[in-house]
Amino acid sequence: MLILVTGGAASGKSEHAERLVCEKAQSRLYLATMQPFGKSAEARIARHRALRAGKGFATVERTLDLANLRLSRQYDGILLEDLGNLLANELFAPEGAGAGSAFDSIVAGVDNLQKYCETLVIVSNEIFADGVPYPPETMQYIRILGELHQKLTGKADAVYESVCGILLPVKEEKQP
Amino acid sequence: MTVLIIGGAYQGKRKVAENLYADLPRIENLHEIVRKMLKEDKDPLSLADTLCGHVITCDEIGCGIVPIDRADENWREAVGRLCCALAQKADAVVRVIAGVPQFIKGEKP
Repeated sequence: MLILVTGGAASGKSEHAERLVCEKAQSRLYLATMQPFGKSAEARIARHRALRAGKGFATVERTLDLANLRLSRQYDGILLEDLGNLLANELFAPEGAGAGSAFDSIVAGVDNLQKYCETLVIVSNEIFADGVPYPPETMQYIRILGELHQKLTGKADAVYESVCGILLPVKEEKQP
Repeated sequence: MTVLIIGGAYQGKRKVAENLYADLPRIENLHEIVRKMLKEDKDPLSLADTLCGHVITCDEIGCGIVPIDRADENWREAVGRLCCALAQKADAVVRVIAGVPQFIKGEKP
């Protein structure tokens, strides 16, 4: 099962994504994509660590190239946090896939992760509505993230948007 | 009763507040209040308690690229966290798009 949880900044999306994994999975892996550079990233990582504490997540840090990630075991659930960082790393880090391959690399990475789990929950970011014109590299980043959302929503069993901590269905899980 | 009304800029949030919750005291433009408080080194999260009993309007400002300016980033984060806290306490949360209220928590009065 694939679930996408998107939302704006500080909208409660991580909390919901964690809860969804905990509801559906006994053995849980947290796959962290953020590069721990800068005060803001450190604060964010510390906050997410505190949220996860005591919830029984194993943690793997992997900032790039999920398609070639090999895990030592299967998990009931994997929480991938988050797509926005992963794409930024693929586009802007020196060892990243680059603009020509980032989309395909990430889609292949999601396919790869699904081989290791029953339930994959992906956290992503709604970054599409500030109406600000940005330099071309940033516009390209926004475009590719939007395309990834469309692609992954096509594959996903459920897609949610977190708004003020309230989880709104965009695409709903079919009840068996 | 506490009501949080959110939405993008110029979507008709005030009109929804006036039409549906005329009897509640109104706090408008919460995002600007938060900005002012941060400039004065005050913690905006304290508003989560003091604003109970009001109808509150706030712009949704979190759906863009991470701001370059650290103060802007902190502001965006603070508005988001405060709205999550208020939404949890609120009897109703209304998202206004093109003047149309969607009740994402609670029901239309």
